[in-house]
Amino acid sequence: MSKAFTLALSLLSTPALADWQLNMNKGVTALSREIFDLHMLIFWICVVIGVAVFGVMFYSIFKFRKSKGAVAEHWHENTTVEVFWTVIPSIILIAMAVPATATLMDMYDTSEADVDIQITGYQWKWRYQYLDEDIDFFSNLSTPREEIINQSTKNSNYLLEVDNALVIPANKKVRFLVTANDVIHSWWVPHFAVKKDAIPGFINEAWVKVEEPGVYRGQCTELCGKDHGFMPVVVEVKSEADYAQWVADQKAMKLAMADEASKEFSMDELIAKGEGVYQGACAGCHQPNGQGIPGAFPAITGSSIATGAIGAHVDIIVNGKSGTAMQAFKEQLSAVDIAAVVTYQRNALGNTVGDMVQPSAIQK
Amino acid sequence: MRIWVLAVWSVMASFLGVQSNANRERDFGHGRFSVFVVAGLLMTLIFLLSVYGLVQLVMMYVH
Repeated sequence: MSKAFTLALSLLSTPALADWQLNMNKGVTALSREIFDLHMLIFWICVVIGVAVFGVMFYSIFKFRKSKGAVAEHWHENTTVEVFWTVIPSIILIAMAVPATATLMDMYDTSEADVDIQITGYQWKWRYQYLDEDIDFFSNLSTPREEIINQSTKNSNYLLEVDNALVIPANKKVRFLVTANDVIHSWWVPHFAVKKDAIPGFINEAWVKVEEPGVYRGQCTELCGKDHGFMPVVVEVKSEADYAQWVADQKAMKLAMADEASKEFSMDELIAKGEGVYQGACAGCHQPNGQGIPGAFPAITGSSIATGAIGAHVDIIVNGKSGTAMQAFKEQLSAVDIAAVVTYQRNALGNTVGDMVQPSAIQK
Repeated sequence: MRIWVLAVWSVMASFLGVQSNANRERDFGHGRFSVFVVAGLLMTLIFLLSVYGLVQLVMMYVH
């Protein structure tokens, strides 16, 4: 087999073609297919108009070129032609508005939802709050750092994987209330045909009704700062029974977490746990080695807060520091996580303070 | 009366963006400014109301 043939064959294989897909997705919901069909309809109308207009134009330029002796006509107006070329585009536009309006009305019809979920954009993670259930969690990028810095092979879901996926039931109307906590983000899942701006102080609505269980991935699509490319969206659509089970599991987990917060931990336990929390919640700015980025993010190593009074250290993590990029972590981290990460920062990353704090002492 | 009908026609032509030179010269030669202002405001109001009505009709049809 010749090299060229092998190359052609590999280019024609599905993954290679998928990489070259330029058109939008058909998606996995009735609404996304409706949007796709509308998109294709408008696209073909534009193609026909484009071919007709440029066809006539290029034909005229070629046929009546100067070298063939064509002479320009001089006349001032032709009201009939002018009315035609104004009215016909208007009619085309109005005709296109009819199906577009129908689709838009469907897109904006968020009424009678079975599940309501508030989605809040943070720098640089998503928070999902189930308004009818007592479920509230953050969704962080889970791609290993080694893959990002090219020290290991990138997996197929590189930068499109999270620790806690948004879980929704199949065949139920799920309403999303999208907002943001700091800057403007945008929540986008191409297969749902949902792309909604998340704006602080505003709530934008969208909805989805997915037929097939599965995992669907998306990204933040509004430039929101340093880690804009590192806050993906992962949605796990479960069958109704699996979803009910997941809700029950979440509630049980919450009870277990409340239980854990009253437990006494040893320093080794806290440091071990704190390392994981640090890499997930802190390392993005303060860096995995605790050195920070001079001029932008302060170092943890040798920091006056991480080596000073433990109360002030807990406070800055719980409440953040206004006017800086240091956000309040009281909603994002459990009492156990905060106690663990404080203890870790004081006794690792080059710091050797030697003290610790118990989860029960964390006042949120 | 005729001056009003002609003014309304000219306003409609301006909405479309197409007007013949003959009509333009007639309007600028014999027309009265105030008539065009009133006709223009009236036609704008009718246009706004018809867009509003159309949207209401569509909303009614959908729900």
